[in-house]
Amino acid sequence: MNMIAPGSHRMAAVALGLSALSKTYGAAAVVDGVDLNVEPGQLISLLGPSGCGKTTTLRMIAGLITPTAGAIHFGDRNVTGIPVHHRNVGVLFQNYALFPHMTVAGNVAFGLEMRSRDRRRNRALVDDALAMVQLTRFADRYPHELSGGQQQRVALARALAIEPQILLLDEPFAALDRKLREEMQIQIKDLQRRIGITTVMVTHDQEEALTMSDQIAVMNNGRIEQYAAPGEVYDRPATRFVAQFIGVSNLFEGEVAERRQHDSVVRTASGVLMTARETGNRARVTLCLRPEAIRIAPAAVGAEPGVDSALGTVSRIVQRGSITEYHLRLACGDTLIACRPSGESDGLTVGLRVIASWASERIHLLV
Amino acid sequence: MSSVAQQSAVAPARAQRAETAPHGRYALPKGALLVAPAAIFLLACFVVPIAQMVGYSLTAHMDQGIAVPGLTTENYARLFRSNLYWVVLTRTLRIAAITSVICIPIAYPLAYVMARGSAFWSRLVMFTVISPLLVLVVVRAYGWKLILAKQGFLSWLLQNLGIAQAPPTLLYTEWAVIIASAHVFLPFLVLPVASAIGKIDLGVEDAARTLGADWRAVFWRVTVPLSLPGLAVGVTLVFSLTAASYVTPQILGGNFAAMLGTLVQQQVLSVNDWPFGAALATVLLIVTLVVNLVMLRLFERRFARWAGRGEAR
Repeated sequence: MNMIAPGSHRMAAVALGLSALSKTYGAAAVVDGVDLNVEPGQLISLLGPSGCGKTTTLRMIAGLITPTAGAIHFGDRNVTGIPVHHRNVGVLFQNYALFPHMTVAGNVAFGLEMRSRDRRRNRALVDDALAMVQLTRFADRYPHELSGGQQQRVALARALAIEPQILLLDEPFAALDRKLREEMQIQIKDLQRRIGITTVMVTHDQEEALTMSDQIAVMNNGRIEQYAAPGEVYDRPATRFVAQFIGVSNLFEGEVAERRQHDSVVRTASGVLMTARETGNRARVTLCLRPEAIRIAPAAVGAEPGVDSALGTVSRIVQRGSITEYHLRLACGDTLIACRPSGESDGLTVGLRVIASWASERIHLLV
Repeated sequence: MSSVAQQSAVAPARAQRAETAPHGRYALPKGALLVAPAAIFLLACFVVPIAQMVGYSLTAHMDQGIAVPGLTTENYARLFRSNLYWVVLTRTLRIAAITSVICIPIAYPLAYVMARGSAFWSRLVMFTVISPLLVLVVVRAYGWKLILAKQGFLSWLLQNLGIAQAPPTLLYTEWAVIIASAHVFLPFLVLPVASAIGKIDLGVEDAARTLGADWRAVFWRVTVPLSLPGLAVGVTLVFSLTAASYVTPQILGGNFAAMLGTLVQQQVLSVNDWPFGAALATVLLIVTLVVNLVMLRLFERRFARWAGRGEAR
């Protein structure tokens, strides 16, 4: 993952800063004290379920919604009170929001015309923007005459033509079918990296966030639960919510049964023994185990589970394309989800007794 | 007469809607069945009477109070011979045009609030705009007469504000007719424009704002162009209704601002010259129709392509 985009000159400066940003409607806090710093040139995602406040946060950054409290900075400039049309943000709307009564060129020119009356210069900038998204041939078409992917590129060209300070993407790929979506994700990510524009993307699709972002802010109930790089968010989720929202997680609640020199042994409610590190002096902990960390093998007769292993029966096999999920019903009644690359089934079938085991370093302690 | 012209005004809007109807394989027989009652009604109560009216104007003329039957263009020739009829015709069109134009700036803010305001404001505006239609036309016209009279409220207000020195003459002028017509026909413009504004994606206006447009630029460059289809329908309605109105100009315009409707009434009821009255009504019908078609065509050309209508993909 490219952590620092070209053009940022490895500055630790902040291109976009949110501090204690809040929005309440009546008694309901939609966004509740969000703090967020984005480094120049980075693409960050606001990821969360619908109603978590991610879109409201984005619209506050754009200036389309006035915050109830808190501040928004673009670099050193406090833009909290600056109206939307003076903020210089480029927004890619979910349904693109193209002007249906203007041609492609007219759409792209709109923002430029709001800034300058220099027709010749504007036309040159429109040509540049359309060339950037490879739509030069479509300059005289109307939006409804274009396909979904083309419309999105027009919207992108329109947003970028004004050379905005910040680019905001609001669920940009929701309206596209899967194949086109993956294509556009790569195109937009490449473009963003090439221009080096600081970008905030709103999405509910964890895969999209993991693919495209330099940093992910996982949001829930108007708050940021974790703000970290994609790998970090996936491997070391900070909270139970993050662990469950991103990828598939096996979560275990348990009590510390034995403290050792470097780690402790935790006995889960269902009786599985697991190794946990850095438990501190806590008695009760929650442990997270990713499906791909679990090995499964047919159980020998009379096998006994030790620490970091469990006996169970395969209850369901789910094909997920490149991986296959195995749902195991443990002897104690819990369900454990394991996965392995498809085609490596090794004769695992539903109803088979298996032993599941994992390396202790793959166990992650939730804070 | 008035009701006939009203129907002719609604017709272009109906034709427009029919164009957008789905063209499924089974749409025709089923659609024809659904349309049948309206079609039969229109045929019996609209097309046949109009044909009859046109027929009257061409098959007889009055010669010194005696009806002379026989195919003739005498009624139309007479219409073009006399300056009076031209004056009335142009006045009718002028009043209708000015009323339409005056209604536009009044209608837009109302339509905007109706389409975008809270439920309370939306309903309040709706009721206020429609309320003149709830009052009998004669009562409404006499109400305006009281307001516009030399000793009326408006005159008193203008004088006390120092805008007018002497009591201004408003009653029995074209302006009296225009003011009263604008008042009553305003909803026919507000409603289609509000419906058009309501259909504009809010995201499109947001997009314009993020691109640097202040509210004025958003209004002129996005809201107005996208509401033109509604405006086209509304303006043709107001124009046609005003051109064909009879009671309002009769009461408020008197003989100083007589419109074609008044003239038709005089010919038919006072002079008893039905053929000539029919000719006048036919001319009014044709002129209104032509003006409407031209206007709709102009609008249509502007928004046919971006609305995805007319031109194939």
